[in-house]
Amino acid sequence: MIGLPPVNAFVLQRTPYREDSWLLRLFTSDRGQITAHYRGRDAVYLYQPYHAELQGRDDWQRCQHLEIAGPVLRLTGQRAYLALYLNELCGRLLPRWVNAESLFGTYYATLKGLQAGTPAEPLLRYFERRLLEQLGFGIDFREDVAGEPLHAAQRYRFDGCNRFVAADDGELEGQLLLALQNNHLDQPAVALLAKHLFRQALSYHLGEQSLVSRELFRTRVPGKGSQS
Amino acid sequence: MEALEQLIVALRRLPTIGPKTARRLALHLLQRDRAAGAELARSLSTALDTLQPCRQCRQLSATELCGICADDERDQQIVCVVESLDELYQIEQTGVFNGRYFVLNGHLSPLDGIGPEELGIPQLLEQVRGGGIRELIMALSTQVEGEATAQYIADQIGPEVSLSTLAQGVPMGRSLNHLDPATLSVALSSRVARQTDAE
Ligand SMILES: [Zn+2]
Repeated sequence: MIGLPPVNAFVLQRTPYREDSWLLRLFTSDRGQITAHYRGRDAVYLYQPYHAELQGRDDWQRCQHLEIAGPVLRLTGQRAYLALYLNELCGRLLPRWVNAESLFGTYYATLKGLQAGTPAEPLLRYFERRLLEQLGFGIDFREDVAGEPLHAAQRYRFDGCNRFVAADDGELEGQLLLALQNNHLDQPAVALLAKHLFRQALSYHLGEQSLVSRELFRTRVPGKGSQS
Repeated sequence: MEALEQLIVALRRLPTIGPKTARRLALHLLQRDRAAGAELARSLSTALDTLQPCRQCRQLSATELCGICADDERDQQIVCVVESLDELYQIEQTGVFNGRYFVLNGHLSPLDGIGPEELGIPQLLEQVRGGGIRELIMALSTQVEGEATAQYIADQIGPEVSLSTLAQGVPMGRSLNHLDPATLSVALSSRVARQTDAE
């Protein structure tokens, strides 16, 4: 039990627990999402890279030590919503006890990008795509349900989860799907398609309970439009 | 012993109370200090019967409109938005604020299922649209959730209402080596130029 190396972690959610501690939902690079008890009532920050020393049973981890592992990411204005959206997605969908090193890197890079003012939409789409892959349901752009490679000239329907079905009356153009496969999110039509597809695919996993953070992207004052 | 179990279950619904603490409290109130138990039951029941959220600002009040909202001497068009009654009391203690409040009872926290509706934000926006507010002061937590909450409110209202946020940084009377890095970095990035008498 001693000498376990600290793990890279972000706090997804923190809830006061008893008089003197926190219950933390952590996004860790090597074990996915875990819940850990952390004694100490000093402030615990979201979007702060930490090294967490964890021990205990699988279902009851204790965080012995939480050490700052880099500058906190400052997400202000509408970027604060986007950051909450990322955490809601991870908290709702990220599995427990899986290696999530690659997605962890994407999460960190997405936050850094948001902080730096990089256009948010492509960052979010890329993150959503990687999250679906982490879930084992990455969208399959290589071949359709029948095992045929996608063709630029063919039209398709989306099965709502991760595959495409060739259909002459399908609403999706093969050409755009191929552009999306290559991450050409700078093209408006591709970006729109990605938003539409990934939202459907994520809803498949989220089930009935919709995302609270989506509500934030709706504004009522013209000219103050936000993005999601 | 069903009544005892019911009491323990009820106590466990309080924040930070676990099963062991709930049992200890229940036994204390029923065995060690029954007078305290009776007093607690009485005062809780009275408070529940007589106090409700103020129709306008959501702070606890014995009347439909709380004392602050009903006070003509205060500027009812300047509204300070706070996360909890604690902050309201703290600001009141300073004695420097002469507007009224709006109490959210929390901040946006999607993973806890707390969105704008749960915070009464539609109610606040209705008051803004009704034209009764000319300035909103956001006195919310400096963490991301507070920032998102302030931004959400800002996004929903037009330019006719002026908006401000409390300044952030080094607390008075604190030395720098007691600050956590996040506070220090905000204090640094929002530094202000020194006033000089030279010019
Ligand atoms: Zn009131």
